Amino acid sequence: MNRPLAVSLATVLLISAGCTDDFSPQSDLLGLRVLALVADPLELAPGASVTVRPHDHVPAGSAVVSQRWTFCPVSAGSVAAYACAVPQCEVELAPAADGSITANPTELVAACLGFTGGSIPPSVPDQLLTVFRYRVATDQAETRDAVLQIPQWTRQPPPDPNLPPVILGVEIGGIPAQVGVPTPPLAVDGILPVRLLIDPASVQTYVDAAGVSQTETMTGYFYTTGGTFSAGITSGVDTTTDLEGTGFLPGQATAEVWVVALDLRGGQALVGPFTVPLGQ
Amino acid sequence: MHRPGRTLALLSFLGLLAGPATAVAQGTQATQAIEAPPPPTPEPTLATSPRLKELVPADVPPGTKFPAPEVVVVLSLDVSAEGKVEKASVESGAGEPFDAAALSAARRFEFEPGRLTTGEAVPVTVTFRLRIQEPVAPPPAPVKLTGYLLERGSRLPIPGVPVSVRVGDEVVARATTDGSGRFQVEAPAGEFRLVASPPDRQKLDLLVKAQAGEVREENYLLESLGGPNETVVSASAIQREVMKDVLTAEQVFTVPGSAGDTLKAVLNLPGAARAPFGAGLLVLRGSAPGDSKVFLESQQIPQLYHFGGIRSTYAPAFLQSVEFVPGNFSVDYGRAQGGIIDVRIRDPRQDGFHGQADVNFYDVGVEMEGGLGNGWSLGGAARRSWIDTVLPLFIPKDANLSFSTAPRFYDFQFIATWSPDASQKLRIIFYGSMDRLVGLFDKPMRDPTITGQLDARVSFYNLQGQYTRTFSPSLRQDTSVVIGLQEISTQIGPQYFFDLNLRRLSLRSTWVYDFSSQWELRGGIDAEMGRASISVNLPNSTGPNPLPPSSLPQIGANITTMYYSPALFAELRWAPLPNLSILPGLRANWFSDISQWAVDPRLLARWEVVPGTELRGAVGMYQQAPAPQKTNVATGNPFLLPERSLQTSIGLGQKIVDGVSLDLTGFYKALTQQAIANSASNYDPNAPRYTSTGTGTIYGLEALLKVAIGDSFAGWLAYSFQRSLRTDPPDVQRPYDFDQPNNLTVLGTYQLGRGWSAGARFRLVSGNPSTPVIGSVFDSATGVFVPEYGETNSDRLATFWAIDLRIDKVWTFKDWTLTLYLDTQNVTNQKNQEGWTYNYDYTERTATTGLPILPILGLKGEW
Repeated sequence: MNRPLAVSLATVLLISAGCTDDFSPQSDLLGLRVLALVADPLELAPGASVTVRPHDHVPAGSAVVSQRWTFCPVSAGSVAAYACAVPQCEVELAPAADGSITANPTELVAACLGFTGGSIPPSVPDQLLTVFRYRVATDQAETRDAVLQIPQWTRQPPPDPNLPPVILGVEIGGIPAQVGVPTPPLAVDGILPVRLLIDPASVQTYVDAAGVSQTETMTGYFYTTGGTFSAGITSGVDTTTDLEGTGFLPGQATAEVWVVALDLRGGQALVGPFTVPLGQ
Repeated sequence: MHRPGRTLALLSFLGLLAGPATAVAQGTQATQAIEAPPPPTPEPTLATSPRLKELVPADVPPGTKFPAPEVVVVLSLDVSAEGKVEKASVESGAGEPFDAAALSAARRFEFEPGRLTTGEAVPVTVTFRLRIQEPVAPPPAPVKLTGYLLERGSRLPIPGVPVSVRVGDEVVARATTDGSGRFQVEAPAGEFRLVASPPDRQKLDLLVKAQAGEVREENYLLESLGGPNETVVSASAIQREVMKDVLTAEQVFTVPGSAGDTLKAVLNLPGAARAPFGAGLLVLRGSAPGDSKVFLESQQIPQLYHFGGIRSTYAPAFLQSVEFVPGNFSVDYGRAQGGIIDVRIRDPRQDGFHGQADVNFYDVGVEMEGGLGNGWSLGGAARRSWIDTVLPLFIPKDANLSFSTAPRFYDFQFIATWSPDASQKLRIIFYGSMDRLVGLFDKPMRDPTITGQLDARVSFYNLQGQYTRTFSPSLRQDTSVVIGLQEISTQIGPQYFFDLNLRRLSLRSTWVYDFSSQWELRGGIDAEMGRASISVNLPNSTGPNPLPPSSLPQIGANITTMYYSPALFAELRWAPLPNLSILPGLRANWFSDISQWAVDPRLLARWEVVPGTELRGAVGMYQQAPAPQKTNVATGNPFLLPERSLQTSIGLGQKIVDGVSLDLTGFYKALTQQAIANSASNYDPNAPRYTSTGTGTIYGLEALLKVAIGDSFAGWLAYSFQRSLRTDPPDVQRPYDFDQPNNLTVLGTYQLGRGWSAGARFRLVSGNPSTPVIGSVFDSATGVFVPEYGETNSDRLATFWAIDLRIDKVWTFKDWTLTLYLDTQNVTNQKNQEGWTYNYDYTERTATTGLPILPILGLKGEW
C-alpha cells in the first residue's frame, strides 16, 4: 500500500483509538491558555504592516508577568515545531500594553535576506511563510507558546486575500449570549446547548498549494472554565454542542465560556467570555 | 465362540427338560386312557450371531512402544438387542495402554444384533479379538525430485533404468527413466538414498538431503564402465541462498499464534521483526517495510495484508510451501534491498473431487478442487471476513467513529493446471483481494480536518500464467506472465483523498542450461511495466514523527504515469568439488521513474565441510528505486538515485543429532543512497523534496534451532540479535524505527494422540524505538497543539512478550475429516505497549497497548 495512505490511515485510526482516553479535553480551561492569535490582515502585501493580538485565558489568582514575541521570515513548519528556518533572522518584537504587536515583515525580511531598494532576488519565492511566535508567562510559573504563520507576498499583493470568519452570534440555552450578561444556568448533570452561528458569506473559496479549488471549512472551538463540552470542536457555519453539568469545582458559582471560529487558514474570530451560572 | 444369552438359554433348557418329562408323565397315564400328546414346539435357538457393523479403531497415545507391529486384545462383549455394547471386559489382554484403548473402542462398536430362529433380536455375549496395529504417522510433505540419468561426457540420456529411493534398506519409491533419461519420484523429507544401476555404467548411490515440500531438479552423470573413475557422481544440490527456510502448508496452518495465516507463520523465523499490532508490516533484517517483497511463484503480490494487518491477502488453501529468505537472495529477485518471501502453491488434486470449509473467528472460507481428465485439474477458493459483525461490539459507545460498513475483506484464488506430459506444465492462476470500510466521525477528531466520512476501498486482481518446459536434460525454462490491476480509493474527511488505479504487466522467464556436472548457467528476464493514475490530496509529512494533519502542508496531484522496469539476470554455478558450489551472478535493472540503471553483482558459496556441517557465505549488491511518491515529479524528486544495500552474510548449518539441527547466520548491510526528506523543502519551494543522501548500517546474528522428536513433537527456537541504524544528514545516526536488538521466538507442537495436538509459542522482543515529546506549541491557525520532538528514536518502548496457545482436535471419518481448533493469542492478556497516546497539549501521556487476549475458535472440514 502506498506509504502516505498507510500513514494517513494509521494516523486516523490511532487518533480514533485515543478518542476514548481519560485525559481532560482541550475545551476544559484548567490553566493558562492561549485561545487565539488574531492577525490583521491575514495575508501581507509587500510593505504592509500587520497587527497580531493575543487572546489569553488567565486563571483566577494568576497574573501575566511577561508576553514575548518573536518574528521569523521563514517558518520551518510543524515538522520542526515552527522553528525559524533562518535562525539568525529571528528578531524579538516589543509588545504594546495590551500584549499585541505591530510589525512590518517586509522590512524585516529584507534586512534578513539582504536585499534593499525594492529589488528582490529571483531566488526569493513569491510567497514566504513568516511565523510570529508568542510566549506568555504568569506569576504561577505557567508558560504557553503559540504561533501564527502569516503569508508574506514578496512581489505583489495577494490576489485573493484571506478574510477572517465573521461570528454572527452565540446562543446559550437558546438565548443569544452577551458578554457581561449571565446566560441561563447550567444545573448539575444538566445540559445547556451552545450554538455558534458564522456568517456564510465569510466562507471563502480558494486554490490551495496543489492547485485544487477548496472551500474553507469553518471550525468552532469551544472553551469553558466549568462543566465540559460534549464536543469541543464543531465543523460548519451553524453548529451546536452541549455544555454538560459535570466536574464542577467545589464552590464554583459560574463558568466562563469562549468560542473561537477558525477558517483553518489563519483567519480567527473570538467571542466571550460568557458567564454561565452553575446550579447545585 | 458365541454363547446365547444366559437367561434365555437356561429357560430354554428347563423348558426342554420339563416338556418331555411332563409329556412322559402324562403320556404314561395317557396310554391308559387317551392318546399321547403332540411333541412340544422346539424352543427358538440362536440363528445369527451379532455382526460388527463398523470397526472403531483403538487409539493409543502417541509414542507408545508396541511389542509387535500388531497387538491383539481379546474382549468379552455383551451386545444388546439393539446392537450396542452394554458391557466390555478383557479376557486376554496385552497390557496397558492397549487394554484401555481396546475397551474404549469396543464400547463404541455397533453390531447387527444376534437373532433367534424366530427373527427376534436378542442380547448375546461374544468374544472379540481386537487387533491394534502400530500407527503410521502421516508423513511430512514429500520432496518432489525430478532427475535425469545422463552419460558423463556425451550427456546422452540413459533410458529405461529403474531408480529407487531408499530409506535405510527399505525402498520407498520407484521410477524408471524415460526416453530422455528423466524420472520423477516423491521422496520423504530429510535424508534418503537415490539408487540406480544402469547396465554398463557406474552405479548411482547418492545420499540426498532435502526439506519437506522442496521441489528439486538434478542431473546425474554416470560414466561408462571401464573408465578410470569408479566413484558415484551426482549433481550438487542447488540451494542458492545462505539462509533460506521453507515452511510447509501443514506447518503454516498449525504454528501456534499465527491462526493459520500464510505470512504470520513465516514471521516466527529469525530475521523477521515483530510488527506493531495492526500495522501489517514486513520488516526483514532491519530493512524498511517497503524494502522487502512477497512473491507468489516468483511474481510479486501487490498487497500483503488486509485492513488491520491481521490476515494476509493470500489464503493458504492451495499453499504448498513458503520460502523465506531474509537477505542475500539470488539474482532472480530484485527491486528490493531487504529480503524476500516466495509463496509456492500446489496444483489442484486430480484424484477425484475434494474440498474444505473453514469457519473461524476472523473469516469463513471454502475451497474445492478436482481433476478434469486429459491432464487438467481445477481448483478454487474464496474467503470472506466476518470480523465486521463482531467489531461493533468492541467499539466503546462514546467512541467518535462509527461504521456504516465495518472493515471487511474478501479474497479468492482460482487455479487451473494442464500437464500433458512429464516435461511440461501450464498453470493459470487468478487471485485477488478486496477490503472495504465506511465510517463516520460523528464530530471532529482532535484535529479539525479529520471529520465527516472515512471511506476506504483497496483491491487487487492478478491473472498469472506460468509455463514450465524441459526441452532436454540440459535445458529447461520457466516463464510466467502477470496482468494485474490494483485500485485504492480513500477519502478521509472533506479534504484528504488518495485514489490509485494501477495496471501492471509483468514477465519473468528463467532458462537453465547444464554444461556439465561442474557448470550450470542460469539466466533470464524479469520485466515489469505499468500505468498508474493517481489523484491525491494528503498532508505531506517529511519528518519521521507523527504530526497533526492540519498543521502540515497539503500535497496534491492528479497524474497519470507509465513506468518500465526491465531486468536481466544471469548466474553461473561452478562446482569445482562435489561438496563445494560457487555461484557468481549479475543482475541489471532499469528504473524508468529515475532514469537509472542498477547493476547488482552477487556471489554465493556453499561448502559441505563434513557430512552434516555446511558453511555458506554471500556478498552482493541489492538496489531498488525509491518509493513512487518520492520519485514522482509532482510529489517528489525524479532525479534521485537507486537506493542501495551491500549485503554480506556468513552461515553455518550443523546437524547435531537426528531431528536436531542448528543454523547460525551473521550478516552486515551497508545502506547508501537512501531517499530521505529534505527539510528545506518545508520553506523553500525550490528545494527538492527528497535527496539521496541517507545512509544506514544493519548487522546482526541469527540462530535457528530445530527440534523434531519422532512424530510426536516438532518445534524451533529462533533468536535474532540485530541493530538497524540510520543517518539522515544533517542529523546524527539514530536507531531505525524497527531496531529490535533482541527477538526470541520459541514454539512447538506436541501430538497428544486420539487426534489431539497442542502447541505453544513464546515471544520476547525488544521494544521498538520511540521519539520523546519534549514540548508543544499551539498553532493558532488550526487550533491544535503541535508536538516538539526530542532526538529521534532516542527512547524505547517496553519489552514485548506474549504466550500463545493452540489446541487441535481432528476427527477422522470414512471420507472426510473435521478439525476443531482454538488458537489463543496472548493468553496472559499481557498489555504490551505499542506506543504512546498523548493529551491535547502533550503534557500527559498514557501507554497505547496492542492485542489483548484473543481466542480464535475455528472449525475446518476437509473431504
